[in-house]
Amino acid sequence: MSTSAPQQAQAPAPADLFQDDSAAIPREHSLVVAWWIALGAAVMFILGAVVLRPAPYAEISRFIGDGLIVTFQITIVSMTFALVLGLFTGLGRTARSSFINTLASLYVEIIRGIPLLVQLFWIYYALARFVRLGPHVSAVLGLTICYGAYIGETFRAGIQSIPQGQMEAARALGLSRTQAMRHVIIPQAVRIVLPPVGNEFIAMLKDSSLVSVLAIADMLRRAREYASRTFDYFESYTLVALVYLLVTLIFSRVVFYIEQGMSRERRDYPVTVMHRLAGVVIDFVILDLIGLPLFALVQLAMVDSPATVPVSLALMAAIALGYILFFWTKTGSTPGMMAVGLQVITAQGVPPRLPLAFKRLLLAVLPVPGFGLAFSHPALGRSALQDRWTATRVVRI
Amino acid sequence: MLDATIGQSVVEIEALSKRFGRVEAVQDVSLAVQRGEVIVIIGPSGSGKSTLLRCVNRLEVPDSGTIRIDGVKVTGQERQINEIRAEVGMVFQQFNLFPHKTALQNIILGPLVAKGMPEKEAEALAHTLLQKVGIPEKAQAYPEQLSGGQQQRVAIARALAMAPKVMLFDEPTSALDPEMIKEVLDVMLGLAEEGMTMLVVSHEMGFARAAADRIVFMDQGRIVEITTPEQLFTAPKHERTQRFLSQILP
Ligand SMILES: Nc1ncnc2c1ncn2[C@@H]1O[C@H](COP(=O)(O)OP(=O)(O)O)[C@@H](O)[C@H]1O
Ligand SMILES: [Mg+2]
Repeated sequence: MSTSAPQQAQAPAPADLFQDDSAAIPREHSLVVAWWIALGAAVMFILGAVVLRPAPYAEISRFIGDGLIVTFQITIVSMTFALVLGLFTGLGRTARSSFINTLASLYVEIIRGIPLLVQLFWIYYALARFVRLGPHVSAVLGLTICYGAYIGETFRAGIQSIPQGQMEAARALGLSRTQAMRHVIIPQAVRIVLPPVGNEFIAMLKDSSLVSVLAIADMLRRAREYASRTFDYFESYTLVALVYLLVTLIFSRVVFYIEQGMSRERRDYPVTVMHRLAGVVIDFVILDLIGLPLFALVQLAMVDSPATVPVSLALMAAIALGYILFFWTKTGSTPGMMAVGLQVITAQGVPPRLPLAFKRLLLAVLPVPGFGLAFSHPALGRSALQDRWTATRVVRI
Repeated sequence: MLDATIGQSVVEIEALSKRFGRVEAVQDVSLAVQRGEVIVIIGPSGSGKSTLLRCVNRLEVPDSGTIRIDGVKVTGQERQINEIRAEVGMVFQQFNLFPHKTALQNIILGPLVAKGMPEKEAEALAHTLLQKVGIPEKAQAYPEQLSGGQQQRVAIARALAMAPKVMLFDEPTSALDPEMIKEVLDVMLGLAEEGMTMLVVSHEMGFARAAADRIVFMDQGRIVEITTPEQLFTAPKHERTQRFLSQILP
C-alpha cells in the first residue's frame, strides 16, 4: 500500500513499536501455547478440586468468592483513580514549566522508591497520628498513589513517543499547547499506552492482595480467615493461587489481543469464513461448554445444603442453555463468559449500587470479549465486543 | 508587485539571527515578502532555510531581529502567537498529518478548535478544499491509506483551511517519489496563480521558473543573493550561487 519515499519511514508508526516480525513470531507462538497450557491447568485443577473434594474446596471457594469481588472492587476503583492521577503525572512530566515538571518527577521518584506494602502501612498506621483513614480508603489511596506514579511514567513514555512533528503541525495551525495535547498528542498516546496500562491493571490486581494486611476481606484475607479456623492452609492458599492465576491469565490475554489488534489492524488482512468458523467454535467450546459449567459449579459451591446439589446442577444447566439460546437469537453470538459476568454482577448483594453504565461496561469488557473470535481475527474480536455491549442493553440490567 | 512599499509586506523579516549552540543557523537575515509574491528559497543543506521559515511562525524562537506578519510584530506572547500562526499556513517535508484522524478531520481541526467555526461549516470548507487539491473522494481516508502525494495535498488543504495570509512550504516534495512530485507542485502552482503569498523552500527549479517572483539563495545562514528566475538561470551574480546551481541542475 505504501508507495511513498523511503525517508517517509523514519518516524515509526505507533503500532510498529510493538512488532518486530522476525523476532516476534516464534516467541509469540510459544507464548500462546504456554498460555493455553497454563489456562487449561488452572481450570482443571480448580474444577477437579471442587468436584472431587468438595469438602474443603467447595467451601473455600464460596468463602473466597466474596473476597474475589472485593479484590475486583478495590482494583477497579483504585485503577480508575490511578489512571486520572497517572495522566496528570505524565502530563506534568512532559510539561514545559520546570516547577510542575519537578513536582511530578519528585512524586514519581519518591513513590517508586518505597515498597507498596510500606506505603500501605504508612497510610493506615503512621498517618493515623494526624488523620484516621478507614482500611478501604487507605487501601484505595495507597494503590492509587503507588500506581499513579507507574502509570504516569507509562503516559510520559507514550507522550514522548509521538513524533515532534505532530506538536509542530498542531501549533502551526494556531492551536494552543493545551489544545494540541488534547486533540493531537493525547489521543495518539492513549493508543500506544493501552497495552502497558493493561499490564499495570493486572499488576495491580495481584498487588491488591497486599491490602489484606489492612484487615480488608479481599480474596487472600478470606482464605486466611478460613484457614486459621480449619487449618486447611494448603487447600486455601492453593485455591487462592489458582484463582489469581486464572484471572491474571484471562486479563493478560485481553491485553495481548489489544496489542495484536493494534499491530494487525494496519496490515488489514481479510476476515475469511475460516476465521469466523474457528472463532465461533473456540468461543462455543471454551466458553459455553467449559466456562458456563465451571461457573455453574462455582455457584453450586455457594449453595449451602448439599442435598440440593442435583437440583441446582440441573438448574444451572438450564440457565446455561437458556443463556446460549437467548443470546444466540438476540445477537447472533454465543454468550459464553458474558453470561458468567452477568451472573456475577447481578448476583444478590454483590455489587454495591454500581451505576448502570458501569455494570454494562463491566459486562461488555470484563468477561473476555469474543474470546475465540478475537483469537482467530482481531477485527472479529472488536465486533464481538460491540455485540456484547449491545447485548447488555437487550438484557436490560 | 515588486515595487510595493514596505507597508504592504505580508511578511517582514528584519535582521533575524538564530543560533543552535555554536551553529549560526540564521545570521542577520532581512527579507520582505509582498502580498501575492512567491519567493523560492534555495541553498545547500544546513544553510538555514528551514530555520528561517520556522522563525516566521515562531516554531523556533529567534535570538534577535524582528518578524512582522501583515504589519503586526510577532512577540513571544502565547495568545498573540496562536493568532499569528492561524494566519500563517505551514506545509512540512514529512507532511505531519495527524494519523488518528481522517483527511477530513485533519482539515477541520484547525478551524474547529482554533477558530471556533461550526462543524457543518468547517466540513463544507474541507470538502471544497479537498476538491481544490484534487482528492475529493479521500475525505474519509486515514493518512496511512493515502499515497505520499495525496498526504501532502491533504496537508496543504489543512493549512489552507485556516485561510492564511501567507503559506510556508519547507521542501514539500523532497520526501516524495518522483512520480508524485508533479501533483503536489501543480496544487502549489494553482495557489500561486490565485495570488497566494508564498515562501517556498524547494529545489524544484521547474516550479521556481514558473511561479517564483524572486529567488533567494542562502548559504551558511546568510542570504547570498536575491534574484529573479531569469537572472538566476542565465547569469547568477555570485560564484557560490553558480556552483550550487551547477550541482542541482541536470
Ligand atoms: N533544533 C536544532 N538543534 C540544533 N541544531 C540545529 C537545529 N535545527 C537546525 N540546526 C542546525 O542549524 C543549521 C541550519 O539548519 P536548517 O535550517 O535545517 O538548514 P536547511 O533547512 O537549509 O537544511 C544546521 O547546521 C543544523 O544542523
Ligand atoms: Mg531543511
